Amino acid sequence: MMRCSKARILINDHVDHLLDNRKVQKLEGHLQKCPRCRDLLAEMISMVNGAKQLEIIPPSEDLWPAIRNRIERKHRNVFIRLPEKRPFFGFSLYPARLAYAVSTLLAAIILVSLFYYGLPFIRNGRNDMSKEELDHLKVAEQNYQTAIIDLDKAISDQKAQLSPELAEVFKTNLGIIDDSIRACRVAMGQHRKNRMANLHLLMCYRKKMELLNEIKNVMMQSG
Amino acid sequence: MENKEYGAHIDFKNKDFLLDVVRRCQDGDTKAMEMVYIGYKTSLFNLAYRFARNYSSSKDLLQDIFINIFTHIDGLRAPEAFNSWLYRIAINTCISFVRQKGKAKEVPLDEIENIDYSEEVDHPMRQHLEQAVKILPMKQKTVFLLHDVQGFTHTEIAQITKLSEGTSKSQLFKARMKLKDYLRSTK
Repeated sequence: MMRCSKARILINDHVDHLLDNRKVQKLEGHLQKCPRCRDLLAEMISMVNGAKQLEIIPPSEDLWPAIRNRIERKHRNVFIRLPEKRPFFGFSLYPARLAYAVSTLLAAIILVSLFYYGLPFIRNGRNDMSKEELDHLKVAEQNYQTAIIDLDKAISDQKAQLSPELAEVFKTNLGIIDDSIRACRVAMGQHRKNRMANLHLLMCYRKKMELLNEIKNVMMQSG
Repeated sequence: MENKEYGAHIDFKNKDFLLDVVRRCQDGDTKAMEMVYIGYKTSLFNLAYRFARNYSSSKDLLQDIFINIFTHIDGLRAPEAFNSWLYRIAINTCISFVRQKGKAKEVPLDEIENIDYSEEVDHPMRQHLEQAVKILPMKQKTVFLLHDVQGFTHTEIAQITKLSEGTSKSQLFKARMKLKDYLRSTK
């Protein structure tokens, strides 16, 4: 004879029509002899039917405008974070990865051109800069360095706000520009007045400043 | 889901139509969002109503549910699983809501709904059941509401709640036994 504990589980499945014929027959055999389980089955059926008839309560009609307003506010915030156009090396950031790839390529071109075109000037000593030009360039270089230090300070506390993927892209690009700067300095160390090396150095500083500016903008928009 | 006709005038049983609406929602189309709202509002409101304790809180809860749905819909990678995803968001929002409310305080008397017992002659079980559902633990209440009230199958409940089908069945059994004891005590 089936135990009541087992019958209770079968009753639960039975009200949902989940039992096969064999189990139904077994259960019915038990129910014929057990009034308590018969009562339970009746209660279960009544309860399940009651649940199906629970009142359907209509929500008030004024909810959608409120929901739509909240969604639109959220969307507006998202759009503020993603402006249509962001200048970066003269390119739009859409799609962002393409812009980063192009910027990386530009930095690589700077590096390569420095070595292939800058070094002949070093070797030949052609096209040297005058002392006056060098002084001007030195002032420009100091200004760039000051700007870069300030920008670096501005973003150093908030670097954690960047997504790991973006942070990695920025880090790679900064690394390439820093390598270019080092290469320029090596070239200038060999020949201080080399025009090409000096101009490349300034260009590298400008690119670094632009990139740091871009990082700062991204952080402000994501913050 | 052999469900009550909650949102009959928008045919989300047509899968292509539903997929199109979901994709439009993902693109930020508020008209498509409104269609989702219309199609699911009554079902979700009734779910929310049985988690919250009164009509006013249910309205807030329903708003939170739809805000959560529409702000996370662009992260839904399988639009064909929209239905279970939507109810999962709804259940999670309800549970968070109840936990926050539970931590705060008891519901003030003036916020408790005035229950109209005039229909008790016709539906005595229904009225007591409405009260009894409130005593269920969260997991049992979730499964009971989804299965017995909303009409989901255990397979669908498993997809929504991430419980196994076996757990869903056992939770339903426990819920029904608890409700049965409560209803007996009120006789």
